Amino acid sequence: MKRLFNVWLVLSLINTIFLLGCKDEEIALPDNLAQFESTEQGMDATTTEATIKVKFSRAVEVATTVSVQLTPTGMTYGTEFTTTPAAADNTLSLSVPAGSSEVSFKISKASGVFLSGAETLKFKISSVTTPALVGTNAELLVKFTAIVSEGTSLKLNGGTGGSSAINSVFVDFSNNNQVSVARASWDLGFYAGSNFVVKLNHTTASTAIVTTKSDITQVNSADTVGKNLTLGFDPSHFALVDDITGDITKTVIAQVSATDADNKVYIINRGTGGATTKKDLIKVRILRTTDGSGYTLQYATLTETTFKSVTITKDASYNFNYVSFETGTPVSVEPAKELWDIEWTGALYKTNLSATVEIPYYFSDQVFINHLAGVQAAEVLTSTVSYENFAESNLSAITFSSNRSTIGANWRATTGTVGVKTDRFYLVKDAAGNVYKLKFLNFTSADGGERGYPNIEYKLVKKASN
Amino acid sequence: MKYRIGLIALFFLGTGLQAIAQQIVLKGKITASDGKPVEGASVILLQQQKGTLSNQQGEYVLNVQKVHSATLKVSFVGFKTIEKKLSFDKNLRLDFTLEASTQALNEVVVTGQYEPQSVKNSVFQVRVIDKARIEQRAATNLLGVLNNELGFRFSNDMALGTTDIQLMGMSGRNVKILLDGVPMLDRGDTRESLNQIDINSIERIEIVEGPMSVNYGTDALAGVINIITKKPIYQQWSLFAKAQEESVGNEYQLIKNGSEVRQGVHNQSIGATWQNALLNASAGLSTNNFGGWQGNSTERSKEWLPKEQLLGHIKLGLTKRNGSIYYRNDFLHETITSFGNVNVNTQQARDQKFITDRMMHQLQGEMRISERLTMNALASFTDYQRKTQTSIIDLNTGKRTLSLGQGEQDVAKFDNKMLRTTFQYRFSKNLSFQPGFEINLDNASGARIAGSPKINDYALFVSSVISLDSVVQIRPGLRFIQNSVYDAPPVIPSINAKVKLDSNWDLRLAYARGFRSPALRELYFNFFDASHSIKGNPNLKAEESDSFNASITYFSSKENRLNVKSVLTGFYNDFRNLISYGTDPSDPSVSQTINIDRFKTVGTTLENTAVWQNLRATLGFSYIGRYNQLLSDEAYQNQAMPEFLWSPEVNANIMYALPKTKTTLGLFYKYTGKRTAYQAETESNGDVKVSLTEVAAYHWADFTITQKITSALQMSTGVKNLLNVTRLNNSGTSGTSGHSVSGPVPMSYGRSYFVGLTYNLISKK
Repeated sequence: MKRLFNVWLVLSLINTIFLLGCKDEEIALPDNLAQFESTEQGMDATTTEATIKVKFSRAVEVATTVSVQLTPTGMTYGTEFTTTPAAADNTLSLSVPAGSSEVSFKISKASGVFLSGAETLKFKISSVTTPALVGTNAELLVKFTAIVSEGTSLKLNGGTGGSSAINSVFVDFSNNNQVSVARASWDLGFYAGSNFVVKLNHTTASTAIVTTKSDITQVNSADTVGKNLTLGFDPSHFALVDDITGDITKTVIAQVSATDADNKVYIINRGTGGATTKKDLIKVRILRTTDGSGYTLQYATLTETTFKSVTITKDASYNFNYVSFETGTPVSVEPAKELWDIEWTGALYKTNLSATVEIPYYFSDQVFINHLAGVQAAEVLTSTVSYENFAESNLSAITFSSNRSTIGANWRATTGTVGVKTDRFYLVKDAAGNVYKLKFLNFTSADGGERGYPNIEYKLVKKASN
Repeated sequence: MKYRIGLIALFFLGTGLQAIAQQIVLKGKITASDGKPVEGASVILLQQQKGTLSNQQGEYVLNVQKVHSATLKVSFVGFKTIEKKLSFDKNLRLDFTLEASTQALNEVVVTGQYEPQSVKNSVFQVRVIDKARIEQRAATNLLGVLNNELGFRFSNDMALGTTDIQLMGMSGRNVKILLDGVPMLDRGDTRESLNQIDINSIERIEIVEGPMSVNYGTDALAGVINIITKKPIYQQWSLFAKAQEESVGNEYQLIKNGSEVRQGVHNQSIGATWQNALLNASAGLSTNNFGGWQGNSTERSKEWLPKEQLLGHIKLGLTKRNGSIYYRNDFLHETITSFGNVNVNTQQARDQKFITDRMMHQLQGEMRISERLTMNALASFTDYQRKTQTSIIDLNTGKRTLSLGQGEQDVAKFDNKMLRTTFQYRFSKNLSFQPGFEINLDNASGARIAGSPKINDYALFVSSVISLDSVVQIRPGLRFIQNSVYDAPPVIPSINAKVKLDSNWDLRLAYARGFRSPALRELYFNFFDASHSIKGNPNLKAEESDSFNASITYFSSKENRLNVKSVLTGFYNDFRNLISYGTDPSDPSVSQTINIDRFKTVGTTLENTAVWQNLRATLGFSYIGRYNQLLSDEAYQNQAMPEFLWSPEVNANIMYALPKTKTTLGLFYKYTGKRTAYQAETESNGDVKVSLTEVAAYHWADFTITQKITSALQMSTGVKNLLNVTRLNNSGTSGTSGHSVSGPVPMSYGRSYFVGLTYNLISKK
């Protein structure tokens, strides 16, 4: 019996060694930092309201309070401006519910007040309840004039979904501003310039075919017989989608004619690109409004015998005005054309099926320039000159391109050495003529980033001459 | 059981003479040279044709007539026969120690058998890798033993640091891995478990090719690999300790100096066993650390991921005259680390750890209910957890934090409860039945698994052995399955036959239906992250196969000094409803598991083993054809392509013992022929063109020396991968999903050197 006990003793000793060996290193979550998106923002004379966001690194686990101190220069709270929520003793107290990753407040200029442009408002995050901490961008200077940013870092808010991030993000370098829009929030874009062009949602890989009919009530599923609306790895499927370079003269839906009878009914597959939920097929017919100031959209699901109509008035401060079939109304998608330079998004582009065959292909993390507003870009290899050393004097050797996909998905690799490509950076010349150098810091797990939330850094190389 | 039949026969033979002459009693114990009792050894007094068999404790009792001079013969399969001429005029106690025969070509096997059986008598064609070979290979894991076996190939997933096997042209998910007859639980269809067994606890490996689905249920389509563990020695205790140091290609560090992992392979093991008349116990603990290999990777990252393993087992058993029972626990803790390179933009790097814990409990027992009826029962519970831990290290501050990306922190849990009971009933000398039932209860949970699914599988099986004049043995079998989740195939049949052509030649023929249940992962595993959109499919059916096997075995007569065994086999397997990834009909951007593929394998192998004095050599050849899967796609059926793509293999093992210096030399070689595949490509005019691609052939060779220093201490050293194989040229893209390999196929990390010390102390009797 004693022997048996000895055996047990040895066994339990071994077991103990095993259990000791099994302790895994516990790793903490990163600090959750509350900070402004940038350190400087402008409100030009025409802007009466601005929304300022305090962003957390990730959703807060408990209800959190952020205190923001404001210091006006050349203006007084209540006279020239107010905030929502209201400030008490020049301090804003912002409540962040658990599960939320941002909180915002609004600055409103009082009407009829003349500002010289030299006035400023300084915001400072003075405290945040634990466990969250105050981050490095704790101060924000709001100038009451248009600014030309010297550059900053931004974490683009692509939203959830990883490689199929749900948002498109529009970035305005000169104003340190980003706007996120759900890719699936719109279905058609209506050109606001002189032509009557309608584009499909390339960020969901939407496709369309034309029917022979011009009476929308006469179109039904019989009109799809023998026709394909599903995008496959097939070179002929380029015909189902708008030009992948963004050439507005090469859309699937023909330019809307002033002669109504020429405007055929189209059947639209709203696309499942980037993990977009599949939706019903839609039939549409688009006409010019009688006064020529916009578009009349007739639409219905393919099986319906009646249709709805929406009028879209061209707002020339935008490239396109947008409509959603889900809401049946115009929706706000891209910012005014002067207020964005690049768009980060999942969208349709092309790839090589074989050495000589190209097919339409949905790419994540594409960066399009606002080519319709005159933004241009160029790629620079660090073997020529480094990002740090690139200066105005280097611009003479640069050829800018208006190709929408100059940046495209060239800045990152998803196979091989996965991550942002550190051997290159980009130059973006905005519509006003400011030139920024742009570097992608990280974008995916393998390079220390988070897919869907790429970090970018940009710096002013040359300020536009006025 | 077998020897009991013999015992009865011998008993009847002897009774007639008993009354006439004066009787004496011979008693004694028969042990093997390693101290273990030998059960079932035959003891015969030649002149009187009287004999008996030793019992489980190795003891025998034999009543004989007084005789002045006669010869007593003691023999057992796998051991040298002893013949002793003596005067038998009084009661005697005679103990014998049997020496293992170097001619051990006729090992005892258990896989698929009613009771332990010699290879020659088994109705299945069983391949055995014995302890001598395992030790001489000086492998630190099982793959290092199997890598020069015919029909075995490996595919390495460099992203996950795992290796899957292929057996006879089929991937690992169609191979069943058993530990003493108990299935190893894996999280998916990669047979990672094969690499998660302590090599130091293995007695031998038994491999049965072809479906064993009637016996072992799901997965056993291509075959079964049954790992047989070491058993305690009767009435003795033993201690075992081992340390082995090995380079990984040209990388090695004895101590970790500054680097994040210690380079090289470091393998340490301790163990102990003990047994008395009633109880037995054993325990062992091993660490097996692989430092990874930088290869073509740069900076912090490594081409072969570092892997650290802690493996152990505890066993307690009870032996009684009419049965035995034991509890055994095997555990594993494994960490595979993937180091990321530093992002120069942020001075941050992403590291990933895959941490696996497996705890396997088993209770196995056998009971002799009567002379005719025995029962075997096993109950097991396996708890498996795999954690993915992703962290970001900031190299400026040295601070490490968890990453936040989708799917980057995950814990997947699987468990399996199993109960199997079989009865062996001997109806007559020529007819035995084995009915049994098996219950499997599987559970899973985890972020990537939809819900908390359960699968309950109930099976009834029966087989029978019919012997005709001890020349022909026929074993038909049936298995009936009821599954709580999917429509299981209603009945799985098999039939095996063995014909003894003469004393040297045996013919075996087999037909079997094989099946593989859709795994939990295939039914419910959802994985959506940056680069994956994969969905399980709860409507899957089982994969099925029809298999035909034939083999001819030649055993040279025992009297020869040169002992030869040759096995020629041929097989044809036709698989249906193979589960593969297809497109989800409701969302074309998502991959989903579906029953789509068809596959066939056909081939032949020839294995020869020769034992001559101190030399033991094998020479084998195989030629295996795998179905050209492009043919199952209608788009390619009009292309001119062969149905099968063939690849040859040749292997040779030489072990030579120098008795004077107590040195054994081993040379292990395998040639793996090039593997071809057809690849389809769309041309500019939209036509589909197929082209032949190939993965290059390679030669693998190990050279090892073992040297006995004292009776308990042994040193081994040698070179592995003598021909410095690293990557195989690949002219195509193999695989179409996630972890597919384009460009060179990683095979190994180059020529490595090792040295090891083994201490094996066995108490005096």
